[in-house]
This record gives sequence, structure tokens and C-alpha cells, in this order.
Amino acid sequence: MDYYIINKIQLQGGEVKQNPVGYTTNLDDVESIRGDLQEFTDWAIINGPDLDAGIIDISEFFNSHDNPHQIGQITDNIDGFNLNEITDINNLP
Amino acid sequence: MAITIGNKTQANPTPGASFYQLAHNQNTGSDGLIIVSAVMSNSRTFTSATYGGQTMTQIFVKAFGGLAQYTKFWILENPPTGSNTLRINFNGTQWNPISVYAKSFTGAQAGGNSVNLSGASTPRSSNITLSSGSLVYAYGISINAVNGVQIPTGTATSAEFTHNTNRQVRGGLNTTPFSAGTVQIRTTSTSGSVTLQAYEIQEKATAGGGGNENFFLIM
Repeated sequence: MDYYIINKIQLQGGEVKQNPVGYTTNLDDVESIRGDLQEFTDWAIINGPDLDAGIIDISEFFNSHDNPHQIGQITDNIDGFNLNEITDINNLP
Repeated sequence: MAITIGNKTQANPTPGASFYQLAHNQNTGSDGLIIVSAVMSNSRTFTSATYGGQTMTQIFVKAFGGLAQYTKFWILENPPTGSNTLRINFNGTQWNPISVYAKSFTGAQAGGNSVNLSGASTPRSSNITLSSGSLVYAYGISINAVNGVQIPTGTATSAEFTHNTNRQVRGGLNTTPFSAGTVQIRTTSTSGSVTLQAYEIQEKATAGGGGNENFFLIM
């Protein structure tokens, strides 16, 4: 069985931090919010060159978006990860 | 002792930082080995990897100018068991999605042969010389979908992962140990060029016995 571990992305001290908030084994759930989970990636790809050049700052993303989530990893063994199962994919912590 | 295939972790996130870290559970058992492959845009390079705080050993690295990608492959013998942090460091903030694949084994050892080829027209093939009992992990990168990792050529492996790093990445692992000898392996893409990277996971050698070439001299 694959466990999809979802990270919450936050800006802390001017740096992007990612922390796992839980896991799901329901791929349909993951697919149902695929667009939301891609929000950070899509923005970062488009704005990556300007971020690298210092033209814009990553804080601009967080000023205009709620803290996004993304699939942090997929694994077949979560023993020792100390994560809870996500029961409502539409209300991620 | 035959190789036992253990846990797998894969990831395709956007780091937004100069490192990415995740948890991976190394199986218990003697002669543990963990392998890690990573691919990303060549806007940055991988600098190092650690597992459970231990520095992993780099096996190969390659920058792909045409594909604008960069890959590195590491291993760690006798890693700490249980859940530990795998951390991969970059030489700057990476705003593009990365591909990370980690796989655990027991009954294995380092020292296997590797293949590290640039992209060329599909199919991309190479011979690799293997010891008895070895397994092979291989992956390919392409602008187009990587639709096959054959180990050996003609034998499709199920995808260990398929990732999008602004390019397409797919990995495969054969699960039946090879006899000693040379085999051809192959990656394929739907069109265009594809790379071929591979590493031989060797069965832990048994000191003083177990091989066909061992003999006793009685005097």
C-alpha cells in the first residue's frame, strides 16, 4: 500500500519550510485536489527566474495565497513517521 | 544470503529551499543498503545527501545540457534502521520540482557496477556486467514520456516511480536476481532521446563459501 504524505508549505523567517501534516492512502482524494496541491509548484515554476534574479521575493506568494500543500512524498512504509491519517482531504490542517 | 528488497520512498515536490528532506524507513536485517537517485533542473546542482545524519556515498553524477537536467546517485551501506531523515542538499534554492527515489535492501553490499549515459535516440541501451545474485535499478530522463525501463532488454519492469521535473523521469527495478555475467538493459521514451542511468545492487558476499568458484585444498 502506498501512503501519500502531504506537506504544508509555510514561510518562516523568510524561508520556505515544509512540514508533513498527515497521510492518505486514497489516491482518489489526492487526485480530487491535485490542482490545489500543484498551486505552489505552478507558481514557483512560472516565477522561478525572477525569484533567482531577486526581482521578486517568495513572500509575494504567501501574501496572496493561503499556506499551500503538496505531496511531500509517497512511501510504502510509514512506521515511525508519527503521522495521522487525513480524514477530510478538503480540510487539511 | 539473497538480497531482500525493502521499503521504498519517492518524492516529486518543489523544494523552494536549498535542501529537501523526507522520512524513509530502512528495514531491519543484516547488510543493509540504501540507494538514492535524484533528478532536477540544472538551474541548481545536488551537493550532498545524508541519511540518519550519515553522509551518503556518491556513485555518479551527470549534467544533461540538452535536457537542462542534473542527476546524482548515492548509496549508504549499513544505514541506521527504522525511520530516519533523508536530506538532499542543493547549491541554492530550487524552484523547480525534483525527483527523489530511495530504496532499501538487506543482504546487499556496495561496489556494484553502474551505467551513466547521456541522452540519445530511443531506445537507449547499455551492457552492464553483474555478479551472481545482483539486482539492477535503472532510470531514464526524457523530454517525452519515458515509457519503459527494461531489465534486461525485453523484460519490462513496473514503474518504481514516474516524475515530472520539467522533464519526464521513470525508474525501474528488477526483482529476480541475475546470474553472473553481462546483460543489456534499456530505457525507452515515446519519441526523441532518453538517458540511461543504472546501478547494480550486489548480493552480500559470503566469506569462504557459497560460491561456485570456492574449493578446499587438502594437504
